[in-house]
Amino acid sequence: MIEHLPRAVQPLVAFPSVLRASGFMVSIDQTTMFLAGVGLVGPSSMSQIRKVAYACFGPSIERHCEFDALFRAHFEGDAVMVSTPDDESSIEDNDESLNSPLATSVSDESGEAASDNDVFSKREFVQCDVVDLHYLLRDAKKHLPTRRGFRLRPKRRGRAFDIKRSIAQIVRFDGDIPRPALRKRHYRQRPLLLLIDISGSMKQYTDDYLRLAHYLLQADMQIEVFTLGTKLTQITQALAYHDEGIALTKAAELVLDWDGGTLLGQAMSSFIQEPRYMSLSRGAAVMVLSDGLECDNPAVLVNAVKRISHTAWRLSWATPLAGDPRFQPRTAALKAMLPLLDDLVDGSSLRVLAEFILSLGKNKLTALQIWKQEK
Amino acid sequence: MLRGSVKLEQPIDVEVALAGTDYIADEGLATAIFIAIKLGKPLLLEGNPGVGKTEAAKSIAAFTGRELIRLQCYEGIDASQALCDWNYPRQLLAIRKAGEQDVDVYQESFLIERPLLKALRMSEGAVLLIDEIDRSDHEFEAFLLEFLSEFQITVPEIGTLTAKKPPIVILTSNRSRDLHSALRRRCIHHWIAYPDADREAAIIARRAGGVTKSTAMAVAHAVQGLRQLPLVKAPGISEAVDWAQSATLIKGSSPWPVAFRRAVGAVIKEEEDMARVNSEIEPLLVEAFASNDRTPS
Repeated sequence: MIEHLPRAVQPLVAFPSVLRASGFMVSIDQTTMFLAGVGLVGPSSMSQIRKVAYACFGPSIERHCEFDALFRAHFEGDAVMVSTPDDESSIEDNDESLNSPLATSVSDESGEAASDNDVFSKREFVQCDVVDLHYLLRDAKKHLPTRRGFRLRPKRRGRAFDIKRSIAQIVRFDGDIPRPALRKRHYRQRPLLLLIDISGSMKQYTDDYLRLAHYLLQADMQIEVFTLGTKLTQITQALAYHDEGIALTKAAELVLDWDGGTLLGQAMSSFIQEPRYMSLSRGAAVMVLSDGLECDNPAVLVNAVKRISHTAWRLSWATPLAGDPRFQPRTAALKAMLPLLDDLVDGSSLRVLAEFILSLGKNKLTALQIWKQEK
Repeated sequence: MLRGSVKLEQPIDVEVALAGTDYIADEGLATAIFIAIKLGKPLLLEGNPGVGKTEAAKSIAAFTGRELIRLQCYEGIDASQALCDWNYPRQLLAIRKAGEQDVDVYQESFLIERPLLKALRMSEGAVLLIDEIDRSDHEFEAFLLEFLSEFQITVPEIGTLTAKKPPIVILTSNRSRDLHSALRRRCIHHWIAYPDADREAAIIARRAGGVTKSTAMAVAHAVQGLRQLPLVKAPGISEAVDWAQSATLIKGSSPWPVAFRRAVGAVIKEEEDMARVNSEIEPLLVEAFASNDRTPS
């Protein structure tokens, strides 16, 4: 089709396809707007066309560099500089032991397993049925915590009089109101925010945590998922694919720091510094799935957790180390974080984790209260 | 005065017109506004708080000579607050007065206009500012889709109302959450970034009354330095303007560095940030004055 267009217009029409091929969402309307915009401004310079492209395709601020590179490659013939990590090594998780149900083996909590190496690697997920989580699909939504929304909805029993519906009844029934029309504030599900540690020390658990996140997303819950390693990555959209294999593969492509170092503090600081991420924790049930072994200064991690605890409705920390009955929070970071946490739970078993998530709606003691009681 | 007399032939005309209303825009923003006005598309302005998104809408209203209609979004906002509502007391009175006779209580005379309807009905066109759209919920975003694509709205009891003259619609977002792609693709988009020191100094000099050029320059450099620090809330342009004004007011009783330090509350709003800035403000101010080559006059 493009070949039939005037030669000067062809690169303009082809550009949206280039963007789509690189994962940008571009609609036909936007293409039309782009062409009309270039026509208005006049294609006098590349800089003008670039500005029109930015205005019409509206790439998010995080993807401006990528957008710019694609623009230059398409219109100016520059080579595309894809931001590939320098030290990329592929790690394949074909180990049979990873396919078995979560091991409850306790690793050393000394922090030796943690490293601050900024290692980039890829992950391939092996198809398996770890634990049957189908019951989550069935029950999750009704068991999760709720909050009162601000919208008033028509209800049989309510505190607010619904004058709009009442007048409609008066008109319909010649001045009568057979039953008072009432409204009530409805309940909304609290968002669930999962922060999954994907550092090397958590390698044997991350696959299952991601499967859990996928199941929860498929249960039509309001949930956001991030991975924490040496950096922060939002993987909610990738996990939204219905097919588990596709979802996990998409997530694997998105995350660059699989099984790398442990810079939780830095990753969580990135989370709190980005307003659109931080707003996700407001009033949410936040769950950190991590062993809490931090190589960096623990104060950075504690500060980030403190900020999240201020905005979150409930902050829970699930560590696989807690699978051992002898477990005590000994690391400096975990000890300092304890007063800020509402729950410190066992993250070594998916079943326990799933049950914990389903119990989030019930009133519970805070982690500090539990530890004090046990003492 | 520019009101209503501006001819827009090129993006530079927008830049000049905005400058006439004391708003200093970069080329990107001027291009986005130009395209939005010419194509009759909504303009979505995103950026950190305090970078001048709302001010941009006010300036557009000023240079186009149109009335600015503002809709402030919040969680739970719905059609009755954004579009229109029925005047229930009047409807009840009309029913009572009619007695046994038939009365149509769903006439337009019983309708109370809210911002969206007001913008649709304004014959000379309006600038509709839908402020902080990210604060509203997904239901409201979905409700806006028909309005933003067709400049029409459907009231179930009346029917579809179409704009006499399409308004210039400006949506702003602090990006506290991601907007739905259906909304984004209907809009011309621009991300307003923090300006460089020179442009920020020019903005401060224009916006802050009684502030000298050298003070504006020093504040602009100091604020640029503050933005490099890992603060919970980086200062925006409006905070920089406040800082310059506050320091100028205090200057009467204190020397410059002390005046800036004492007025730091105008630019730093978080307790944690204040602790950090208090320890680092001295070298920052020294650097700001040095880059300005002299202390403010």
